[in-house]
Amino acid sequence: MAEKTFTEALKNLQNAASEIGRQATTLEESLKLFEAGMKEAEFCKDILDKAEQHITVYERGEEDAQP
Amino acid sequence: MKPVTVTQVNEYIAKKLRDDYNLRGLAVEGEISGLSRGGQHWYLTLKDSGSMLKCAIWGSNVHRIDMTIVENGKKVIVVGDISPYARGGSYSFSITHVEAAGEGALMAEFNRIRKKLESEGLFDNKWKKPIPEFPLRIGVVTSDTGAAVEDIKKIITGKNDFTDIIIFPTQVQGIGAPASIISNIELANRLAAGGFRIDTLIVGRGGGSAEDLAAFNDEGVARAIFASDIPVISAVGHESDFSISDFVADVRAETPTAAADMAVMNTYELKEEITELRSLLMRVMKQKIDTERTLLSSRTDLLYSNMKNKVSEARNSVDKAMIIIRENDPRNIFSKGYAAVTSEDGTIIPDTSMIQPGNEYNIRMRDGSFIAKAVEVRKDQ
Repeated sequence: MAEKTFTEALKNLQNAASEIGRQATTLEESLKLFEAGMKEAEFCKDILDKAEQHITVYERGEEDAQP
Repeated sequence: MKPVTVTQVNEYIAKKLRDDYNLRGLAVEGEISGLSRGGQHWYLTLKDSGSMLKCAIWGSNVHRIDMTIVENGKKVIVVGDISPYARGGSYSFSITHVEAAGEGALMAEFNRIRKKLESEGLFDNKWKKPIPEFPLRIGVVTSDTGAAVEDIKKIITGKNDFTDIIIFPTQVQGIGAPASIISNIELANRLAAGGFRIDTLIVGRGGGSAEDLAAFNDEGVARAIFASDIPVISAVGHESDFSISDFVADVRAETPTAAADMAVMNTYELKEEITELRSLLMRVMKQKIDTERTLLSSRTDLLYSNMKNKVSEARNSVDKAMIIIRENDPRNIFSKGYAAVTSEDGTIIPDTSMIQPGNEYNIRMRDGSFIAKAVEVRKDQ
């Protein structure tokens, strides 16, 4: 789930960044893109910043023992 | 204690045998004896110095087998599965492939499994799952003491401080290695199905001899990789080593290091990209606003200057009109000695035809007027 939302948020951010610079984009549209883009950026940053990486070695319990 | 039935015992044992991966796709070397035929099927015993194994070549497999090497006294390698016969309380070895024993058997077995799985469509691209771009957790099925696991950890943590790693300690060479690999692939999938998220599996080991890598050519291992719901990156040995696992995996990595590199995103680069995109958004937004502001001010200026022009145009028109009016002021004419004749109500009388002798008329001059009585009308000829 986080994959989709992160990937989507990043794509939205990239889109906003490329759309906002277009000549044809009006000021109102630009403002909307700006707000949306900044929100997505915060979202992505939060996910990346809050994570703490874990490296574990799986230990087999009895229920997992080989037949 | 309630006794179980004979059927229950035999069926239980039969199930055990059927479920054991070590007994599937097994290559067994021995000498053929007691060859006989029953209908479409062939029966034989494979023996070595210490033991014998009952075997069958079922009619449905006969066409796949080179029957010229199947004769009493011949040393062969047979490939097949242990198949239990619950009703008879016995088991036999069901042969699917036979070849003469000797050199090159390992390569022949590799090619046999490769062809078999290929013909079943297990290598088809349509089964290849994409490797998730943003994994939360990577599962690693390899030895927890080898160099491969250290390489994988080093590469992942070097570019990514986000994705978790779970290592499934696995026997990757020797007897029992295929079973260990299979059971860990299945374990990872069971955990994932139970809600413990694993996005991608790296299955492999570091370099070694052909025998060391043999477990990754095992048919059961290949089938377990194929059956995995979690996308699998195979990473066996070095760049030049190709294993059956590579063909069934969703992606082949040349080495465990390469597998680790393709399994995770670079979070440091991602963070940088996000920061850059944010500042780009701010910069472009500022530019847009500045441009709009400039545009607005130049438009306001235009509006002012246009308005100013209009006003001065209007003023000019008024001035012109006043000049014209002034030029046409009748008093200018009076000052030259002309006078105007009007009736009593002030109507201008321009023609003699409108004059009645005896009537009184008002005569307007430069500085006033006087009343005059018409005596006689003399019209110009």
